[in-house]
Amino acid sequence: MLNTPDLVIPLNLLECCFKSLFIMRAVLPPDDLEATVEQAQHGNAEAVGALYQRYADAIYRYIYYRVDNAGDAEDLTAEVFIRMMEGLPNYRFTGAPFEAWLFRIASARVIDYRRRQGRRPQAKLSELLSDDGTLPEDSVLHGQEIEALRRAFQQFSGEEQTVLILRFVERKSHREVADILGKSETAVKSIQHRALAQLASLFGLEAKQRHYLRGESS
Amino acid sequence: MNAFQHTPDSLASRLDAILPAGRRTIGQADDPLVQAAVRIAAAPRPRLSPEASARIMAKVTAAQSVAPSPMPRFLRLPRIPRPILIAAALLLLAAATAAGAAVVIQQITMENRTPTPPPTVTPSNTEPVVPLLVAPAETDTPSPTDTPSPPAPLLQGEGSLAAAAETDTATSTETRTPTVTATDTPTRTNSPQPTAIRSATNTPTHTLTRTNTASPSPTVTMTRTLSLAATLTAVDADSCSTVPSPTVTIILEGPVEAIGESGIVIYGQTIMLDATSPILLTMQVGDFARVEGDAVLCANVVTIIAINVFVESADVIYGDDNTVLWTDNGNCDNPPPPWAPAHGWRRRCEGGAPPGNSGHSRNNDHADEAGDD
Repeated sequence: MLNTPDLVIPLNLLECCFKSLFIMRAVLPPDDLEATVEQAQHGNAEAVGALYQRYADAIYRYIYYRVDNAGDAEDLTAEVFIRMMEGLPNYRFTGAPFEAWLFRIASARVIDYRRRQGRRPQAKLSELLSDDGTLPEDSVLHGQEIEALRRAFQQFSGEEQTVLILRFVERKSHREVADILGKSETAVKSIQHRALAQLASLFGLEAKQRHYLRGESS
Repeated sequence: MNAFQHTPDSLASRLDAILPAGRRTIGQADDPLVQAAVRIAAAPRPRLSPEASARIMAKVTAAQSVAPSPMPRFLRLPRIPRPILIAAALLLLAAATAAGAAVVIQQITMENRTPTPPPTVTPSNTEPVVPLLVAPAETDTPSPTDTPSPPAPLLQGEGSLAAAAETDTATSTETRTPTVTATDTPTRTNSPQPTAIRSATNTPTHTLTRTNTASPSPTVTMTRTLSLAATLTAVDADSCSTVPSPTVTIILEGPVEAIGESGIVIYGQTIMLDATSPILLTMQVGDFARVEGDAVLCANVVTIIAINVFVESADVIYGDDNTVLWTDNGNCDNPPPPWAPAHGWRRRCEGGAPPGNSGHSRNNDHADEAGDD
């Protein structure tokens, strides 16, 4: 038995899940999304697993950048897919991408998480995020960069977080982000412009740019 | 170029060139805003570890196993617009309200059907109680506009019966016990359907030494109309049959509500008297009278033909031959017969209630009033 703080999972169940995931990848074509969703709506466990496999990482990343730690991100990711399971019988394809629905569920989970937390971190980001002149690739550790970005994202509103994460982490187009947020592309571009300006300021990139334009060496 | 040199659209175009959607390629960033976006895009992407992924999947699988199976499509109810749902709910509410009202009406009807002896029919002397029970007719359908009102014209006294008859507008049918007639409305007609008759043998004498053998559950089915004058004028005692044959003796006590040329009304019940009876000359509206008589079914109306009438306040006792048996002369040297109520005389001269009186406080009250007069 594998014990976790809130769940005791039989090992044979884990094994079953792993096996089913491999089988699903072979059985269900990855781009036959609508058929997979329909099967999942009828309680097909393999279809549910295929949907999970397809979107789990994206949802996890989206949540991870918006919560305080990886454990909470994992729990919320599980909640998102459980909600997906509960909502699947009533889900209808309306033209919007299926993942838009999942991201909206995830956003709602994060909002609920923030409400439960009752606080947002107010740390001085200037100390954490000030650019020391080195490129990200040269950062000491990837984990530190991820942590720095996560802390930076938490200074933004939910919409701004969603735009930054989906546009530059998930590399979604303006149209896709607009669909997920339920907004127009123009609105998404405005949010993106405002958020990047603030983020550049947090990163100290504007100061560095002014330094560069004046011909001064750093 | 700084942040303020970009518009949202120009920045979006620049970002599309540097960080194309759906690809992982990263172009050369040349301004702070694009550099900020590039920093995000170039950051390592956090991923779920296989163990974490398995844990999440296990949670999802467990939730799936306990979740209710999805309803088949053909059983799903179509989505109904909210206004239609609200309208349907209002209709259901109205229907439920109407059904509830029907139940109430039915309950009222059933209550009317419950025979209850009138409180004013009391035993006299040693007689057993002869309750006057009135069963409602089957056609008893109260009108929604049937608002009980006191029969004021009838209670005004002599000569008002005809006027009351003129105001009689038939809107509903109803039968009740005489006890409710005082608060009844004259705008009603009756569908009398006498169905059960209490049988009793009575030997009415002024001495009240009768031997009534009233059955334990006497029922006299009678319907009445509040258009008393019409009833009185329509009744022809010769052409009417006594119900049942030969007689049904009814004893009725109560205040006289109206006095006509050939009868009086007590609790809405018509009591026919001989038009030449001297009691009609001495009786006043409001007097407390005791009537012993026979029920008569005539023209679908049951009336009472009086045999003995005792008016307590008048302190005059008449016999069945209309002779004056006793009169209170104001002194105590003229005692009334033992069977006569004579409340005033007894209160004044004996300080008590008359013999054989049931002791009903109302009777005593009237006796007191008569005595005071």
